Amino acid sequence: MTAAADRLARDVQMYGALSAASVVARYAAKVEQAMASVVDEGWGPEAVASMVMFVRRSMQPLLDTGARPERVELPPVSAGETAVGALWLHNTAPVAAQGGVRLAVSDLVAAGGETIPASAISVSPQELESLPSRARRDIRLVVTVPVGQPAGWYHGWVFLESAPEAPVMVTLSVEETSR
Amino acid sequence: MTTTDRDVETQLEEYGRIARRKALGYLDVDGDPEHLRTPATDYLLRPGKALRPALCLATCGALGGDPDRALVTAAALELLHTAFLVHDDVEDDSDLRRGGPTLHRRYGRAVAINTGDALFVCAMAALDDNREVLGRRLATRLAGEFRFMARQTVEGQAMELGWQRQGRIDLTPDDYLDLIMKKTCWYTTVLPLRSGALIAGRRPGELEALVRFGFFLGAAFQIRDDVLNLTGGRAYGKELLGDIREGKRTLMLIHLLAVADPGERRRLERFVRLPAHERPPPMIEEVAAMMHHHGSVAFAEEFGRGIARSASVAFEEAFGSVPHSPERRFIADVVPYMVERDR
Repeated sequence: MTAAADRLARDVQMYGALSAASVVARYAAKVEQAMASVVDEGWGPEAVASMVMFVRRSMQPLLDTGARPERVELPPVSAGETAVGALWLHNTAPVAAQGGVRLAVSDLVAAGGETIPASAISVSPQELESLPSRARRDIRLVVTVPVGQPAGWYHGWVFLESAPEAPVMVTLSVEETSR
Repeated sequence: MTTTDRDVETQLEEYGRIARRKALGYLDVDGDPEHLRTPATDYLLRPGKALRPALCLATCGALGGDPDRALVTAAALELLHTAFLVHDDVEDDSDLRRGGPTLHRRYGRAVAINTGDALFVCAMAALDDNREVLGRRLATRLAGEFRFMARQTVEGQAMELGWQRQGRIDLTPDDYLDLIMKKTCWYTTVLPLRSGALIAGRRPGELEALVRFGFFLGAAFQIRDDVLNLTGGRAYGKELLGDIREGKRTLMLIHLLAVADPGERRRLERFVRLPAHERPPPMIEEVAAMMHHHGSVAFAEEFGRGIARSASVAFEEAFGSVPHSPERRFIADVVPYMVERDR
């Protein structure tokens, strides 16, 4: 083979290798996701354990409030106003989480026993059908503080119904209403 | 053929013998065996490469699993592959398979189509047996892998038939790679590798490297298959130039359409838009000669070699940390074999 033919052969080999790499990258990225939709992995103990892990490690405010990772601090509001925050639900496990998972919240309670009921708090989406491996999902948290709610620091919990032993703290400062 | 190639062929034969014996067990039928068992066992009793069951069994062994636990899956792969072959031969109206007449030439189209259906049903029966061998959870996962891969295969076949029906000629090597990823690679290499790994105890999240290795290996395999259809010698068991007659959009045809002079290109366009049975044999020979003359065959060979090199790199990614074993060596040796084999 002449030097020119040799160079041409190498170029074609490179063309083949690069073209194939481009195609396989597209497929490799979606294969696990596609498999997750056709295979029922179940919501077994291992998957729950993974979810607990990602709750502990990765549930943190989407808005940078300076809160610690395991505590979501909502922006301060007055009675009658709405506090909005967000979380990341991040599946750090190597497998897709499937089978449905529901998020729940507790009442928010102040040191003096004053309570913002859980019914005043909405989580959206409240239920996830699945979460692919390494994927994250934004969760929106909205607290509608009742009119006349006493000022103070309130705290409560957001947790997975399937893993209530691994909650994440939610705090909210209700400030004095200015007159 | 090198010593390594002979070793690979010897091991392929051994893996094939084991898997086919298991597969034949699923073809025992009540009632009238002549009309179902005889055609259904026909291809399985001919010498084929048995690449799919071999990759499944070897991967399981290489990753520390017990290949006996993968035997039912290997049989299912061979049954599914045989079902695809029977229907593929009908769709392409091919004459030869593994050195003998295709099933529809020997028994008629109706029997061939029914036999393909029967082989598919038997493959599903084998997958059901995995519940006993591997437990419900892993068997369910494997059945899902089979469903997904089978879906990819039929989508790929539909894509190729659609291109032919529409007379598509505006295709690139990337289109070709997309096609063979679906039509060939999933069930020829990716599924066997992933199945073997899952049975060996690998978690689903650990299989991504096998997708890359499987794709590169399968693409090198298919490109070699296409080249052999033009250049195959005595060992080649299929109809020479059959791909040109069928108007398949191979890498050689795509290259030729890109480099032919305007007059040749017009003739080629008319040729590929004809129905397969109207394509004149002298023109088929002429297209093959043009592919040699314009370097389309050499282009495909080098393109395939480049992908085979990627396969060797991807092999290290997928199996690099695995202890050396005869199974690991076999899988490594399959890569160069893919681009040098003569059948």
